[in-house]
Amino acid sequence: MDDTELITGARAGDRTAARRLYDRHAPRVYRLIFRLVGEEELAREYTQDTFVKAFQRLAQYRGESAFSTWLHSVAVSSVMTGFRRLKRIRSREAELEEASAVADSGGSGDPLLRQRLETELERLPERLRVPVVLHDIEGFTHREIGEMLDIPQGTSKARLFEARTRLREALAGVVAE
Amino acid sequence: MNEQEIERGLAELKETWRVPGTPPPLDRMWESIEQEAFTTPGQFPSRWTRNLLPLAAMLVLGFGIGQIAPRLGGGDAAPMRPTLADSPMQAATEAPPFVGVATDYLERVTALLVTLASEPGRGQPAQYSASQAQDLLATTRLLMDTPDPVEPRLRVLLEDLELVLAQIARLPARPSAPDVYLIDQALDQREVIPRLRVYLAETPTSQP
Repeated sequence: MDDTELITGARAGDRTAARRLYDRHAPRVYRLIFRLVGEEELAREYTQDTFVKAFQRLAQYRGESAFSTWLHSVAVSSVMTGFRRLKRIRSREAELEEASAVADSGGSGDPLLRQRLETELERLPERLRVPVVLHDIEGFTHREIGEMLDIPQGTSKARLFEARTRLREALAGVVAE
Repeated sequence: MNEQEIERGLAELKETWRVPGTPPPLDRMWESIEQEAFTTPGQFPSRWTRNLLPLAAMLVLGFGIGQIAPRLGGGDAAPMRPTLADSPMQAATEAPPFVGVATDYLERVTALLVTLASEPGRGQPAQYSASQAQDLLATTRLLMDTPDPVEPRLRVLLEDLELVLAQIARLPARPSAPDVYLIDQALDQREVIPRLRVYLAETPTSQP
């Protein structure tokens, strides 16, 4: 059974079809969400939220894009909504991280470039980190990212450019050594 | 590091960056999804509605009583708000219903936070009242969204409580040390418990 048949079944209330759709797509959705949030508990929560919304809005899926693309849009939307909710909760934590980043910036440098890149990626603000994760790590196109984040493709490109510029600047000292 | 090196480095992160350590419990997650997604809306109220409806009803009732009670009791001449000349007891009985609801809520929050802060074995597996925090969080948001003007000091307090309660509500049954540490930090840095106590001490309806 392909996705289209399962979607038709799920729309008609067939829970077995819905479960098969879930089994087919949940691992990928979970991995994407985990990449964005970095915590297993949150990733589980947002994955559940994604599928609840997806099944409730299944009538809105018109088949113009692959079901997985549409589902990933729902997933990213759930994560972004969650980010806004968590933003204030973690503001203090972020401040501490930022302070630590400033303290580290004049340090001796880390020879492990990948590790430094990961660290700098973590430090990017969400609006820049999310396009990097979606484009450079997950391989989505700017058109898909635009749809997921509800922004124009050009904005997605601009944010990716800004993110890479910041990463380059942050890692410039590492190369010098 | 130039543009190409950045791109190459990011591509390498596909294998290493934020890769889930353990597979998610798909079956358990499905149970929640199935329950929530396939419940007929007309048949059962949603979780949100179930939690908030009684609280909303309580608030509406409180506001209603507040509007009607003074007119029934003493006519137009009865003061709507306590004045400086009023006794504490009089002030307590005539305080707007919002203050009463808010005070009751703040006392419950204080009790929860004090219990949490005095929990022995910080960072060790312990029983926390996440569901209680969820209820209080819902009340917090209702109070924040009330159409009546909220005193600025109370509003700031409510905003801080929203953050702390949201963290507590998210605690798993066996919270990890970082989870508890973050809550401790939030409580300490925002001085939530002392501010709650000061607010309650200065609010008329909290007096005996």
